[in-house]
Amino acid sequence: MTEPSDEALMKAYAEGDMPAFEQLYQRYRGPLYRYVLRLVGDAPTANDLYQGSWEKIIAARRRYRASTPFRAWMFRIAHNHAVDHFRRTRSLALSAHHAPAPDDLATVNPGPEQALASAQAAARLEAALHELPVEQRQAVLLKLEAGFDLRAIAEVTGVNPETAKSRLRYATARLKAALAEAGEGPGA
Amino acid sequence: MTNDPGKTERTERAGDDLAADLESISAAWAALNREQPPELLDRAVLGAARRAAAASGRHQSRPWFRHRRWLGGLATAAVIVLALTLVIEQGVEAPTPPPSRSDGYQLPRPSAAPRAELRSNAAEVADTLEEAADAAAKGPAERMAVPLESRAADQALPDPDAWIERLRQLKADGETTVFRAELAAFRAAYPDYALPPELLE
Repeated sequence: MTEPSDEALMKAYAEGDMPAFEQLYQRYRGPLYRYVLRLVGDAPTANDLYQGSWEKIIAARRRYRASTPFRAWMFRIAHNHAVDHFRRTRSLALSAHHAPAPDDLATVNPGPEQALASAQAAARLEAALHELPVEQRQAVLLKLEAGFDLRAIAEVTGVNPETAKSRLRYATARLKAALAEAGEGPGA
Repeated sequence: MTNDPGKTERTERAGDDLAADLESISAAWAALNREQPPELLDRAVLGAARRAAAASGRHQSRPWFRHRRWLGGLATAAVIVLALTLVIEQGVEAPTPPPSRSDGYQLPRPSAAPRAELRSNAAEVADTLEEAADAAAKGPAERMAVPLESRAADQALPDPDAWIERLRQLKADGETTVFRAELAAFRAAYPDYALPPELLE
């Protein structure tokens, strides 16, 4: 039996079908949470943005059109919400200088699979992510967390595909370099 | 159109580099990529969704004949039209003019204006009734496809592009407080709409 599409679930929820929302929420709670967590770099802010993003999705449920891919729509709402947060806090530039220390990251976000990986390499990768300018961070997170292609990244972030590609290229080059420095990446 | 094989080759190489870099990062990324939202957040989001769904459900499940607001409006309109029609058709009994007074003072005569006003009101009411009849002709299922609350909200929302133009104007005019308030309102109304960068600065 085929699973209902995201779009069908969202439309069903807009008509009052709560189980449809629960199914949709289970699909995206992890990716969306990790997107905002890695975007802002601290859990309390990420929690606020995560909850706020879902509240906006819920509030906009009746304006959702099934012709729009749900995933792009949802991440666009989260992206806009995060951009507003950065604008309010004026932390667009600052956030790049608030990279957590690799040791902190290794202990703050433990997970069963993380424990199996090299903690130092993982922490360095995450630290490198936070050293990226926020636009590049958004692009690479949308690629790695949401699995978007360039066109979708461009659409979500409101730029043309060439700009999205350029941001993604710089970001991946820097992250790859960080992995290589850790001695565990492919470039090492 | 220019054909630059060198450019094409560079673009393809850049694309290959990007794909290779992404692949190597994806493997490392997967190893650290497992945080989940706290349970408390799950409960908060699902609770908000449930309340909203219950509200939607109430609108959806009400049978059409229980929409008293609509029925009440229709009944009132019908009564007014009936009353006005009777008044107009039968005519208002014009009072017999009293004999002229010897001092030359004339009592004011009823003018034609009230009657014209009555006709105008009757036409308006008839239009309202016609709209109500059109709505009724669509059938309950079609009318209830979009909840009343939603229809009202959609009608009240300005067009997003026009709204963005207004935001630009407010910003250009230095109306900071109004601009910020309207920007927040815009975001609430259109959370998925990409704002132009100049409005975010």
